[in-house]
Amino acid sequence: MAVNAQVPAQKAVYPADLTADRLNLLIKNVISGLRFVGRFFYKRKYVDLPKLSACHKSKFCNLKTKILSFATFVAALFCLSPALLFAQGSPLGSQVNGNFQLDAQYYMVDSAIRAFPVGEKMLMNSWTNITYTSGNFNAGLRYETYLNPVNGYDPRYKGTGVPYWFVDYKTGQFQVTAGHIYDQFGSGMIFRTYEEHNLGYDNALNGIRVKFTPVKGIELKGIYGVQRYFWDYGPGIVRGGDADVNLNDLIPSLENSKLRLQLGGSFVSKYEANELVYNAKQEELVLPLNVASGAGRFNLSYGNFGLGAEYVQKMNDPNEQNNYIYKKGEALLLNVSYNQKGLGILIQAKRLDNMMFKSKRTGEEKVLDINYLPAITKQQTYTLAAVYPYATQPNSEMGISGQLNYKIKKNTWLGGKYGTDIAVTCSAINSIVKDFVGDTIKGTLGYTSPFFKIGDTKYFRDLNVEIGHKFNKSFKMQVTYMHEDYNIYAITNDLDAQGLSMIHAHIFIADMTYKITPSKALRLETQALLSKQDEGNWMMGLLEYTVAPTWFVSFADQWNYGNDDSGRRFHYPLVAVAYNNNANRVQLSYGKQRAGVVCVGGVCRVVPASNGFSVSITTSF
Amino acid sequence: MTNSKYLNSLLLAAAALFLLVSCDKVDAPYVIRNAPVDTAACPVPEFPAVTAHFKHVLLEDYTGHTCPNCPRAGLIARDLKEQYKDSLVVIAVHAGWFANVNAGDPVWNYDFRTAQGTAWDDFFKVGNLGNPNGMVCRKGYPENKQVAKPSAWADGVKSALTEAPLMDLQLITEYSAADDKLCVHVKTSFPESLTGRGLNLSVVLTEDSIVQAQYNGDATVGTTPYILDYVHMHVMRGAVNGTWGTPVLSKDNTSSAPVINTFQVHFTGFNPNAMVPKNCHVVAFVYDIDTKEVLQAAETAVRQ
Repeated sequence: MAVNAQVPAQKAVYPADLTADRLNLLIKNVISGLRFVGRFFYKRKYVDLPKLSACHKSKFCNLKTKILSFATFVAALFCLSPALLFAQGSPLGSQVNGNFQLDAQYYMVDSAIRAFPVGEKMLMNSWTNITYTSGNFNAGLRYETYLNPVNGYDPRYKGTGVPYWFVDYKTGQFQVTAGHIYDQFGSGMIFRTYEEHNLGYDNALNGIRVKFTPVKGIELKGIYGVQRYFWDYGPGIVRGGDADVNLNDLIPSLENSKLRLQLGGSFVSKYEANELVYNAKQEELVLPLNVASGAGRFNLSYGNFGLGAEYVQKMNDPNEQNNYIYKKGEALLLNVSYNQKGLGILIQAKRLDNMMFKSKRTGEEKVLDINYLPAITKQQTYTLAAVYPYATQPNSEMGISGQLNYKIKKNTWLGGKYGTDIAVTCSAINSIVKDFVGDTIKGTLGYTSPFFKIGDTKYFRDLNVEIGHKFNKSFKMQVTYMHEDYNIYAITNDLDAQGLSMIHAHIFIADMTYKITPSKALRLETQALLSKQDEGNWMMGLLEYTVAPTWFVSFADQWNYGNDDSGRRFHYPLVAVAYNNNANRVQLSYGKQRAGVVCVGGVCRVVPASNGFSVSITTSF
Repeated sequence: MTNSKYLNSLLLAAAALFLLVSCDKVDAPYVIRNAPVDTAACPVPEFPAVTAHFKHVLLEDYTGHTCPNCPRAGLIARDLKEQYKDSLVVIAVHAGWFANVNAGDPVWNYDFRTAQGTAWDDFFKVGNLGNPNGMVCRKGYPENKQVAKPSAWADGVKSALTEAPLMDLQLITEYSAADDKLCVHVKTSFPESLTGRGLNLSVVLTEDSIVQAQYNGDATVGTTPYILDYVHMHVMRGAVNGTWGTPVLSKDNTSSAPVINTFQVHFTGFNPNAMVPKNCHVVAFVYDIDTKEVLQAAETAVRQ
């Protein structure tokens, strides 16, 4: 602001400011350009190519005509591109692949199970992937439409568009990818972008990736971009690098060694502009704009033994999820394995401390994750076994898991004619010890934590015993016993669960398949969940008839017969029929779905109860 | 050295550079705290009783010395100030592209910018829309309607002045040239309880009559394309208590008792440019930490 003392006191009309004028001019030019292109495509049905051709030879050819000629070229390329793609065909080794999936659901109100009205009556998710490959060149895109997203998906997905595309080529030592990138460094604890439809999760990195292989056995990788946030991008910029060294490939003398050794290191940093965040005293926090993290890892194997580890450290990263503490984050993942014919042993241990790493510091829990914290607990597939799934606690957890797979040999008393498979898995996850540095948390170091000390709070325990046996050519059976201790409030952070005690559940499952003919089979699944807590006892039965490879019919019912509230002992029946034809599948189902949690790899989403029809179509080519 | 080795070395150098620049480590206390005030050096005076409550409006003019249309906006602010007198407080914030300095230039090398003004400009995205632009009581945030064109300032000020004041701001300054010391005392009183609202107090220094060159595109204002001896008024020289001020009322407050804040300022070094105390003013304003709306403002000269 300025006032010139020498200026005479006269009134003048305030002129439009310079910048606004320039902006207006720019907008006018853009609109004019769009109108021009629109006229070209929609009104000029026929292009006078000879005239254009003559124009190129004429030195008086004006700019407008040149633009017209360029637009003709682009339009022709666009129209002919499918023909060009397929025309390349097999002689150049190019190919186009794709797949399509549609999930639609018609909702009916069932207030008893809390299936609430849906205004649209019907909701639909669908996506189509197209990938083009020609030699060292790849390109692809994914069209997505959520009109509107089915219940349980984040409503911010509502819309239609192409949120994912990429081009990739490899030349010499370099491989370059531009566009949307899914990738991970090491186990993913420092960086992983991925897409999982079952979770409605996509944190693709929109940017560039460069891979460089200076010599055989060394791969260097760099990434730089922003992450998908529904139909937009997150505010943070993510950049990182990864080095992977395979010593057996690098050192010729180790090429055939029994000792296999792979080393790796990663560095990832995010930038985010400053924001105003206050502590309880309303003092403004000094936020780091650049948050760095580093990781080191190795994988070693010798004969049947394997040993691997990765350690990640993240610098001060105050964010909404950790209540804006400045403590550094740490993660350690260890695994030891032994494998031989008929026997496999895997032991994993994990410690996480303040490791939620997002490209939006005020981000909600399940968006814009830069890293992925793998689960070491068993991923359950049976319905009642998945009622209480463990979700990784990124802010802190410490656990160990073990898995033993053993095959009792054929032609023994226990193995029978085909052998018997036994799998035992168990895991134990606890909190970590936290010594808080003060009464308030926000805007402080937060706490200190002795690295090897296990916290007192139990999060999760499970023991799974699975025995699978094939009795004859027609009949096989798998029985499972599972025990679970589930700290529902600590794991789900659901305030409704506050004050609930630990849930103890015993789960019994029998899965029997009887082959009537080589192409027809009947499968019966019976499950029971026994618990005195939460919703009490459940049982489930599923009968499935398959006519391979085309038809499939099933009927299932879940019954919450042991609910303390006798008025809530609901049945959840579901009938489904599916038809397969090569790579095409159509499935129709009708019934009720109970409210619950769906987890994939330790990442979970809440699914509300529903009642209605569903249709699912998948195809690929 | 082979080409491949050159390539490897360059890539390693790029990676090392990346590692060095991609991290900010913040040390305790992790918050922006103002230096404790020596109350012995700045004893708190007796504030006179408030007999009537008046609303004062803050007009921020985001400007730059290379902005040709800014002198015309300056005239609008000056006219409004003349019209509303003490009810209107004006701050000229030099920030953004038009405030950039050409260090090697003998004329356009004077830096009016301040760290706090630039932070406000970034946060409220005023400069993104070009200069001149401004804000009247920072109204319109966070709906992204906070930026007001100079042509909208008059209506904005007039409208804001009709609102009932939610608090009283009293300012007392004591300046000692011998000690190069300025004591600023601000009393915030609340006629009615403001439960559930978090409020911060910001205190800044402004300076008048700085004669420096200014671009000008309006011949009715002065010579074009620039005025070498332009007189800059209300220029923000810096914030006394940080970019976002000091809390005066927390959201979980149970009583809205009056709050007195005392600040001590040394002119030397307050701004990289030398300041003339007799041309300076202290501006205080209280804003809502959620909506950022300025609810009350006050201004007083450094020399009383």
